[in-house]
Amino acid sequence: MSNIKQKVLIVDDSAMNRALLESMLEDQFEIVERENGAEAVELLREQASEFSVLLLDIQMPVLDGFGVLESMRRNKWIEDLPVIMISSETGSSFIEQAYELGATDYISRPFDEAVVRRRIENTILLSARQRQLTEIVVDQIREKRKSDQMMISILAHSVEFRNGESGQHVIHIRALTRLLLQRLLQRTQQYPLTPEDITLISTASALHDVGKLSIPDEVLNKPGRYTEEEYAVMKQHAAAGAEMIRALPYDPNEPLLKISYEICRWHHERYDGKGYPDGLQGDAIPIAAQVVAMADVYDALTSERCYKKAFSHEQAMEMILGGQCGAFNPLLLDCLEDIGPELKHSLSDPNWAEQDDEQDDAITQQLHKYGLYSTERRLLEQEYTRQRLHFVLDYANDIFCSYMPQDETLTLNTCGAAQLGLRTMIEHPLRDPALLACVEEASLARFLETVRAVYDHTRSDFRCEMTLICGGTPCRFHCDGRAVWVGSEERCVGLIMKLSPAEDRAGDAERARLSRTISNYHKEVYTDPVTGIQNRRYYDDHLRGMTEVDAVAMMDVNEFKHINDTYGHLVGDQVLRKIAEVLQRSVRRSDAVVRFGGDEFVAVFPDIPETKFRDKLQELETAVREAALPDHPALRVSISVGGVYGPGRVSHMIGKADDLMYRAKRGKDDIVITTVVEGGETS
Amino acid sequence: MTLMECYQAFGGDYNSVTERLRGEERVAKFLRLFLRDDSYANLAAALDSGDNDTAFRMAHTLKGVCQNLALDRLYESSAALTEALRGGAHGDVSGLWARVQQDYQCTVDAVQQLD
Repeated sequence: MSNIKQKVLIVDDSAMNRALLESMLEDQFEIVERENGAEAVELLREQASEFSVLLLDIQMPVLDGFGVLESMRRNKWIEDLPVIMISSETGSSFIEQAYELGATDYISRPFDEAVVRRRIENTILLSARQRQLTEIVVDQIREKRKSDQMMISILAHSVEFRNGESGQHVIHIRALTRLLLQRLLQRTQQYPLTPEDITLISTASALHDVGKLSIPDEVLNKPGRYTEEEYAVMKQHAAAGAEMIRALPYDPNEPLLKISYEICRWHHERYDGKGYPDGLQGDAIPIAAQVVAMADVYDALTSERCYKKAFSHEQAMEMILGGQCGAFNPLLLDCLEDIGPELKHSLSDPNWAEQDDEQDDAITQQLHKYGLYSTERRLLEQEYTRQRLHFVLDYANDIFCSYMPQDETLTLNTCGAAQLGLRTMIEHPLRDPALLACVEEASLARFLETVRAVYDHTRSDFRCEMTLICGGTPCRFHCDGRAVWVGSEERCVGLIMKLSPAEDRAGDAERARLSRTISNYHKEVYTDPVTGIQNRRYYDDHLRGMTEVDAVAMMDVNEFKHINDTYGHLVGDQVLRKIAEVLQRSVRRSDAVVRFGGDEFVAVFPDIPETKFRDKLQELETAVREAALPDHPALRVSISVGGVYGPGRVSHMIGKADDLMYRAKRGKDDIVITTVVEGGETS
Repeated sequence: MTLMECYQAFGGDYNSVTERLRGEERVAKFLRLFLRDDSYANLAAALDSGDNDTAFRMAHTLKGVCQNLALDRLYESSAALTEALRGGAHGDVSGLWARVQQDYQCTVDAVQQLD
């Protein structure tokens, strides 16, 4: 570890929250604070690269957190500076929007020092690793491009050497072409050019004179003026070069070949149609050829040739802009003027044409486009998994703990920490006095021996008995554990253990019987006798009052009365049973399906993204439509569905969903979905 | 009044906050800072002048601070007020605001008696 503290930027309008985070982090990081988005953007404009991570609130005056993320994306700061959201907004739409805009992680409130620290460390580590990988790939692509360009240069130079030139010409043309194209792209959207195209065109520019290989020596290297016949022969190099490219045994639509063809054939055309070989006019001349033509003229003027001395930059500009070298696209003339100062400066620097930085930027951009998206998705999924796991562990009645060898940390669930009177996170557990006081010595020795055996034989599941001190009294526990191994090197990344109280057998049996009775009773009261799924009473007692639920759906069987009348009530019941079974199977474990009454069903989705919700309803509708009764294979049923996406209170959303379902029934739609946004609604 | 008694008095989660923030000392320090935090005063002013946007943001900030310090009762009432103010469109919030005022006063009184 270096001694220089990494810098963390905290952007939150509440001074209290900033102070709280600062007190958690100040010993490890250098903290900089800003109290709204606008101030943060101003600071980032100067110093984005100095920070290792940004902690960002959402609700702020002047410019909110989403605004900051958008600005970071526009300015490309987001590619190098990871952002962790720290808002108390917990609606999944807020979190999702933050991830969509490029946030890396989300720390929910209330802040827990250990969690905050660890998440920041992980984020910094992850982004450093990603930066490293990007650099490696950029290096490799650059190497490959360089060798491609070298091959093309060798070919192009061989033309020039025959011509008695130095070999600088192709290098200059390439650089000039790139500068002109970049300027053109800044000035207008008229030509559809990507950074990739610019690279291709400047690479292909080196081949513009390849047709000169077919021109006889005595014409090519004649000092002094050409006769008319000689000039006619010389002019053939354009068409000849194009033919050489066309004759290659490759697909002529390969971008490099296509562009090379255009450049070779038309780099002596002029905008007014007075060039050769085809006399093309205006934008009938491909833009690649127009640009190379201009680059060719400028470099020819400013270089010494066997028939002339070099002109100065000013003279060359005057000749081109004055039309003495033929007519050019006015837009390109503007571009040439724009880059004039840079060209003048460059004439005095022999190496100016060899800089490749811009290309690297283009490669990096490509990588970000591919790479970051998948990272975002992965992190989003990780967050869901993490939240689910926390939920389960928080509500478990047994003690759960996990141990991570690489950072020597033991984590306990809420119940475990409470029973044993310990913190939920213990670093270096075997040196922690509070923990050691909780475990009977012989038990600890036995436990360590068991774990060591698991390690030595790379086994996974283990089991042992332990005596722990709970509230001063020793209690016996069954410990079930699992070691998690990853990778081909078989590295153990963690131990997970569940500790359940080991009472005497009679007590166990008694408790089991009692809990069976209770759960039977519970089951009876809340189960619908016809369909076997949960009933209206369950809805009233457990679902109705839920708040902050993402989505609900109301469903009703189409023409159920007709089915009852035609096939009888027994078949009607079978239909309901079948639908219940299909619905139950199609929703996720975290969702609930209830028979609401008659032929009405309700589904509650506590935590689901909006698009997934829409897909899910479609899936339910289709699944019911496709379901068949074994006894009546010809009988098909369908449902009408009303869906409401919140978040909100179930009882409130169900009313709306009911209206929508009737709207679906009256109209021709099977499904009508509405999103409720803060009181109002949008379809 | 000890910190634990203080949390009992204003309806907060003593165990959670001392664990998350690693110790009583820091919790007490931030509780005292809370007395000087201006989001409550700004909220009152914004409601008074009918500035809904600012009122929403201030209620939101207050709620966030309460969450971090495990001031559960005040968190509940300020969260309810925040949601009622969200989006600018709302009816009468005076009932919710009265609850926030009451819970805030109760919290402040207890913190002032902290040893």
